[in-house]
Amino acid sequence: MKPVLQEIVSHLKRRKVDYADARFVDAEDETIAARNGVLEANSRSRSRGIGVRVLWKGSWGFAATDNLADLGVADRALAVAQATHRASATPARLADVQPVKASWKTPCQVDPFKVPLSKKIALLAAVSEGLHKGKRIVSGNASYTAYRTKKIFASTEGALIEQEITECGAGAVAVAAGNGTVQSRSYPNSHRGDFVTGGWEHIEAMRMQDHVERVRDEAEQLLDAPDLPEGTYDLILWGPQLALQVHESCGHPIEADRVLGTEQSLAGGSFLQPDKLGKFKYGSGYVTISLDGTIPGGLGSYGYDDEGVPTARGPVIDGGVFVGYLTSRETAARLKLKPNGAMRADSWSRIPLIRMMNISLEPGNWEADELLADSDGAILLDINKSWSIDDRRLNFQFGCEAAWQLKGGRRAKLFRNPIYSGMTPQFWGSCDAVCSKAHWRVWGVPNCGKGVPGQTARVGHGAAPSRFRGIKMGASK
Amino acid sequence: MKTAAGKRAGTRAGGPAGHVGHGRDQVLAALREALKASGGDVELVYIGQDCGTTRFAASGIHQNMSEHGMSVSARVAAGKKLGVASTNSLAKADLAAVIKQAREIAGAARPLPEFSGFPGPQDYGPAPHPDLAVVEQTPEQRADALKPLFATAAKSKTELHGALIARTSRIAVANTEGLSAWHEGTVADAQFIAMDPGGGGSGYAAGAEPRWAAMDLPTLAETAIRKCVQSRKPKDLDPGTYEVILEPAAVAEIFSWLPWIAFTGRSVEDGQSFLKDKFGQMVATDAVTIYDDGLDSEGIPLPIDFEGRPKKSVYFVDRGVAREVAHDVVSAAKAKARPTGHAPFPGMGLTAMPLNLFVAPGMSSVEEMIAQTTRGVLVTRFHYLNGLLNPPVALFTGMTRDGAFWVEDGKVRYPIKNMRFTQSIARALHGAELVGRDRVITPNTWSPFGSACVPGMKFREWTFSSKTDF
Repeated sequence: MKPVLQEIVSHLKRRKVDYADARFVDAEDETIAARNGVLEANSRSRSRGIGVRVLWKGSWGFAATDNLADLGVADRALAVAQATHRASATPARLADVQPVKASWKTPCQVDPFKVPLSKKIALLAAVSEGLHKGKRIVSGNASYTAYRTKKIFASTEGALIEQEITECGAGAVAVAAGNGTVQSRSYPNSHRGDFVTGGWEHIEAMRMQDHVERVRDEAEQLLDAPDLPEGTYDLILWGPQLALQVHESCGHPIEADRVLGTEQSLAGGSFLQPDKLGKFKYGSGYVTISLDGTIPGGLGSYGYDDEGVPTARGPVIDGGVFVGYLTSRETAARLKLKPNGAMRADSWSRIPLIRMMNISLEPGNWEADELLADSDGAILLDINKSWSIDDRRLNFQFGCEAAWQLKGGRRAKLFRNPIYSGMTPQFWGSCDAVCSKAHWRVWGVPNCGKGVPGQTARVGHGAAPSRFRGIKMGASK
Repeated sequence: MKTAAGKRAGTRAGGPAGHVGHGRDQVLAALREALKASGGDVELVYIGQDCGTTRFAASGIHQNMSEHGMSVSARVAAGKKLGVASTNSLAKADLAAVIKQAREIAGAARPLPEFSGFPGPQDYGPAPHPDLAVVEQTPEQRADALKPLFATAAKSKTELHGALIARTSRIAVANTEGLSAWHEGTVADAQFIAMDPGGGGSGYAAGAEPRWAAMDLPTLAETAIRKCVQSRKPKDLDPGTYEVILEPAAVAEIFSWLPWIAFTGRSVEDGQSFLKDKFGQMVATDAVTIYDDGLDSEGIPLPIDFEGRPKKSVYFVDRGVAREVAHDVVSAAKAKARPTGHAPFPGMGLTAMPLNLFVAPGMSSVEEMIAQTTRGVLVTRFHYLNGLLNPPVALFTGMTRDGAFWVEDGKVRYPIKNMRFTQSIARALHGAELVGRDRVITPNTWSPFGSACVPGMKFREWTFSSKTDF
């Protein structure tokens, strides 16, 4: 496909566009899902096409085609840019980057697409069947998805980049009903589980089958647990829920397109306006958050974004102070910053948008046992059930599957239907403990939505258990 | 440069940025040819979409996209074992390869006991023809439609953000039992947010129609601008329980969740639905009727499901009484109910997909709802709703956005800062006092198919759990 892409960008260069890029994507995925031992989804799909982006007199146009011989897509993209120019406002300008000729491939030990189907089905059927064995379990569910995305990127500036990204993940959930309620318990995370860039070795390492009994029992125990009484508690967020907290209250508000108001029509804006950069107190001194698209295995790890910019590492929150945005070439130019390789599209048919890579809360110094022992009366929350945050990313409310009140360093009492809420800077300002590197890991979030038409990104968040003081909590009832 | 556009077999002529989608005859011929050579027990589902999306921010177009895409999913049965594979090519060799791959997947699968085979030929109800003005919509036309609206906004010192979308969606289903179905539908969709530059007020108005000529863009933009001006200098309101008037956009955001958490056979089977054990009982006031109807031309029709079965109207709540839920073939077999024509997309698991949600209109205008409110909140729309807090009571949370107002003694008094609500919809429905007479269509953001067509509603009690500073 390289000659086709190069012909497209050469043609557009001859048409004297400001800039153009052409992106070929060949995306494959496989999904298997089982419920109560019965296979409910068992599918493979493949989609190939070309997306062309043109900047003409400061106005953008985009056209996409699934016809790989359709060189007319170039002129259609230019025509769209010319139409944009009839009613555009501020002309777009791109921050300079060094055009790259490169290739990048996800390290992958065991190709998930080459693992025998029967092996994958057997695992998921057994896990879902095992989860279903509890007397009050309504359904046991297990699913797995793998993605392979081959991309070639060419630009009028001379960039030519080839990438192959392999991602996969799995999860299981038991749903219990009785005692006037329905409760669920998931492993290793809810909303389809945990995902990585990498291969089947990740699924093996999860050892889902070893967690069946505990997950099933906890789902049933939640049926008899009391609702979490409303009040103000010290809160300990365990890994996956803290990852989502980082995602919603830090990852999204640092997206420079939201900051500059260009995503208002769906996602909204951001409270982290440019006048806050370098001085706004976002959290306590224990809070350091970074962006890093290079973490091995992180779901937000890749070589180059869909503008041909290398993925980056850098600070976002440094000791509680807001210091960094996720940027595109266009927003970087407007904010006088460097682009950090955050522009990604979810298919050949969509434009790249600013998306998170791995946005992570850096580890602190606490051992998990010490943190629990130091937190008598605190509530520990584990695994997300619901999420909501306002359009500037300030007022949030999260629900979790289970809550435990701590006593003597142990999970002493179980509560159901826990929710907690707060305002972003106050919440992060209440953080007084973050566990160490030994307890830190990257969680994959495979379902980040943004844009019109809607796009779904796969991103990662590193987190270790952390404590927040004086948080408003209660029960969803 | 040589161009292949227009030379591709079966593509239609279009402007430089016009559409190049497949036509009915080309698609069905390709599917039938592939089925003939397939060896039997095969179903093919074609989904195609041409979509022109013009997004604007601060009264200028900043994203402008012309997208043409399609997929064909092959579902193969080996007895009661199923396999699915998909491609985005109609080429003979690619269809043969994807059928072969699906057959291999089925061979490794486990039996699905409730699977009873693919349906034979079906009779379908009438559906409107696609609107050529949408099909042939160009980005130039959208730009020219928006430019005067940006000028209107400037007169009120506001800026417009939003999107203008022209979408043509196609579905074809064919199988080796002789079923052959096709539907092509169009939707014009506009969303306007008017905002004060640098913060302050914000207002929203949106609408969608199957026909471009039915869209009234100036009125939508002017409504958003008026709301923005009215929402300047909002005041605090303490969290608490108040009467609430939800405009159609706010109702759509909540009610679009209900099919997934409450109105399918699977949600009843799992105990997640607030209708479970309540069929035949009042679950709302008699002002409330909620239904799914793929043939209702008041919405965006979709007369067939993803197995090619004709869609039947399903009344989830009929004048306050819980009646029935949507079923695909498998959930219908388990529940000993009738399949309702709501089979999911191949490979997306097994749960019915109600995609055409309606709330029956009532007799009231929003102004009449305001006149009948003693102490309440008027909500233009919500942001980032979530209905997974406690599905058996349909507990939702979300934020107000782009215009919330305090109403007292029958009049709108002043704008208020945005509030978070946390509210059981199952409980709120028992206090649904008034239903609006004018309905608005809201298309699904995340799929080429699906829409909600709902009016505004007034509820006796609605709990706002926290507030913001803006």
